Amino acid sequence: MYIEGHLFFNFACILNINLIVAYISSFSVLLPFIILLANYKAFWRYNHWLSLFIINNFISEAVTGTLAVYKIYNMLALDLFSIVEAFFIILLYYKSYKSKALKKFILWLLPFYITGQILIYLNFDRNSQFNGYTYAFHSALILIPIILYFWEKVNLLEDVYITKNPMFWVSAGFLPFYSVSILHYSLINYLFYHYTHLLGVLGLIHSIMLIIMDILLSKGLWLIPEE
Amino acid sequence: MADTGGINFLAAFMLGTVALLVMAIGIISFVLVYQRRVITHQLEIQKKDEEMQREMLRATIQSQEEEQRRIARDLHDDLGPMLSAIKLKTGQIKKKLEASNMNVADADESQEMIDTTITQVRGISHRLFPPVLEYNGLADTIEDMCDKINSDKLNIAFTKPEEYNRISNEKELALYRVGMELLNNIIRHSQATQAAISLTQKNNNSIEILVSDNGKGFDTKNINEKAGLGLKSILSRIAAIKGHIKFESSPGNTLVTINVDGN
Repeated sequence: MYIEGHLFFNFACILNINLIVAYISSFSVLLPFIILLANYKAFWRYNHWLSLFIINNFISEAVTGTLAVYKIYNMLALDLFSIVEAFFIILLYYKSYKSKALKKFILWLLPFYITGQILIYLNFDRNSQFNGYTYAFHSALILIPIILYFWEKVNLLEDVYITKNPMFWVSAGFLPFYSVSILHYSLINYLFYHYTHLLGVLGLIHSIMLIIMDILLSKGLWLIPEE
Repeated sequence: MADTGGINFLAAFMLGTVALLVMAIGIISFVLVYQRRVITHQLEIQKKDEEMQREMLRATIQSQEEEQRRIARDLHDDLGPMLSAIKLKTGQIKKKLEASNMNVADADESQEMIDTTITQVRGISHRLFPPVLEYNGLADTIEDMCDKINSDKLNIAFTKPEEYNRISNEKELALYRVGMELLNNIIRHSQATQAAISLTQKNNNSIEILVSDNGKGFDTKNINEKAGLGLKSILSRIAAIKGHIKFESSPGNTLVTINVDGN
């Protein structure tokens, strides 16, 4: 099984609008990446895990997209980039939290994540289905530090203007994307076998969510003070 | 059947997606609204608290000033005439001693001591509350103060507006005290040879005072935390009249800018 175009969704695109949105979403990863490049020293100093996440996101899109164009199996690469992404996001929030208890808790997610991924891999037939459960688990796990971040913000009330905090926008970008992703990745195999024609709708929504996430990420990066 | 199933599934799928999206947007909106509401409330409380502290500070400064004014008046009106009367009496005693061909050295010495005391009492009284401030206002008082301090070691240039409109007594007194404290700091700590005070007044009567010197300067970082007694007094007096003060300093160039609303 190979993934064509933007990750795994483009192959199911029925309408041209899906294709256009899918390509826009593929290129939307460039937006935070370019902003990152423009002021990489300041971003690195602010939170280097955020910079690494964006770099990983960009490379993941470039590599998996290129493999897909040449019709080369790209699921392993996608899985690998996802694991790296989870690590970066968890460590990104580890650095963002003020509470030591939350920091400790979030670090425990890493072994839990690895164990969960291994268990899913061991019980998963890679040849006949798309590895949606891995990504659903991945999204669900990533939601934990994001929700905890908002919970801490509400409890600490340290930012008078929270909208000026870059991490708020980064988290606001992650939250809807990964929330919706849980549902989408859980259903992808079912859709693939029973309602193939609906995969386009799923792809379209996923692409829109990705574009929104990239815009909010960019907004967050934009707020990081320059050197 | 398959189509109906597909439509039902699509509806359920869309509903699930929308529900999750609403949940995510709900969380973000809740954080935004809750945070803003609570912080606005906290800021209001903080503002009220600051206002109350400022009022307390104002009341304390006002009562101190009242007390100083009373002491200055007592010194000037009661002790001053009394000392003058003593001087007069001593003069009469001296004349009587001279008439009796007796030694008047002690009487002369007493008169000199009384003269010194009268001068000192007048000085203390003026420092406690300068009468020129009450009658002529801030511009003349600062000019008077500069004239008195001017010496070979420290030359102070003073510029004032051609026409000075008086502001409230409370603000004038506070600015006078601040000006005096700043000059005192220049004399005691700056090793400056040149200083300048400029008083400007805008159309709305707001006042800007610039105090500069060519002394060694001082560290203006975290000035609120590191302030000594004199600087604390300056900051609290400016806060009490809702004024603004800015310190800029480097070796050879120190500038203090004070802005006060004229109303």
